[in-house]
Amino acid sequence: MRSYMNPAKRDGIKKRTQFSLHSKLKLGVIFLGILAFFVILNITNFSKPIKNFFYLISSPVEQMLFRKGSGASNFFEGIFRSGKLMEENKNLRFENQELLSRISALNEAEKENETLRDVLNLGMKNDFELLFAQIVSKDIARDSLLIDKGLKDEIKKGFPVITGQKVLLGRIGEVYDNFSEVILVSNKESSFDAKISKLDVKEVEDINIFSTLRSTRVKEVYGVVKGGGGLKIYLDLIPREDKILKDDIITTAALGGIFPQGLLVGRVKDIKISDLDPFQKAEITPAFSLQDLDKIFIIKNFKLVAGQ
Amino acid sequence: MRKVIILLFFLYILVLVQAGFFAHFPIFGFFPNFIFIFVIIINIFEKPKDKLGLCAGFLGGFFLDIFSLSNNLFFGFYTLISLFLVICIKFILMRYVQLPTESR
Repeated sequence: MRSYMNPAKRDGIKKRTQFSLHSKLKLGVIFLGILAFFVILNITNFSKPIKNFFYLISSPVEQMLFRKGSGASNFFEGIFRSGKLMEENKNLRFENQELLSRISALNEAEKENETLRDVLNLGMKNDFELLFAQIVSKDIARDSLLIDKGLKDEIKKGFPVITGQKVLLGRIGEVYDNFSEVILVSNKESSFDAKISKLDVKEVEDINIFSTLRSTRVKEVYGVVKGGGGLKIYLDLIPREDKILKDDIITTAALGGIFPQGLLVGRVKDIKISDLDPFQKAEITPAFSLQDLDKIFIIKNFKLVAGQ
Repeated sequence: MRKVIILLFFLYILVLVQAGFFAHFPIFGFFPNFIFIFVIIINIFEKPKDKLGLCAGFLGGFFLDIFSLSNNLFFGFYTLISLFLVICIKFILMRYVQLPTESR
């Protein structure tokens, strides 16, 4: 077949469309060099000082951007969710009233506990040794946070991280000289023992709250909290015979020894029971809100069971 | 060289804005990766034989590796992915896309 294209033009296109052996080789060598560079960085762990250096020089700007982003996000959320706010406000008022009545009952129980402690000479000791930290950045896509405390503050891998309200956030992952990564409980790598504590419903009825707290037996349902990624948390391995309800409160259990007992994890959102599965599974609404989170605490030292 | 330095600063600021500011703005539960978007755009609009897109791919990927908080990812993962993406774009543009030239 005859070609009508100008030979010079055809050569030009040929040159453009075909990689020469030399350029292919050059590209391959560069790619292998980069690969080798990263392999060495990973093997020697030299990536840590590099990351720490960049976090150190960027943290003032990043923290400023983080705060601005949080403010802007709250502002836009307020606009977009204005319709739902009325209903949410109403629900919160109702919940607030319910909580106030519980607080008054718990205050009474606390007084009684104090008296009992005095009698038993147990004393009230601090259960945790806390260290305050500030969030530098979030990586929600990977359920992680970066905080401004690191090896220099004697932070170690695995330390629990909580909010000021004793809500469990996660544990320390990678530690750098001045910074640390926090693996949130919603991270897919996260897994720990938890429990649902509730009063026996039958006994609560027809008795006033104060006497109920003294007389009722607290029923505990144990399970394993697993991160699902994308800020989703699940409570798995709950025996089928244990009845759990929506809005049941989940707290950490001392079983695994990873976290101290009694830290708030969240509420039951949705219960999934499958005929094929010997256990129940529940989706949990996390007790923390990353939108409002700014300051957090690292537990440096803790007793598994409070008061021991 | 001047272009590379400008690119370096631009990508550094972009990754800071992405990790700090836009971490609060999920779009349908996902977070857009502005670095990859920028790398793709620069590679599409530059001449396939130019090297600036390759630099953008390397630097952008490197910054993503530094500022992404993931324990289970190999350090260099994003750089390699980004470079691979650049090479694919350049290959497609060279092989299958012919831009119109001025007729004499």
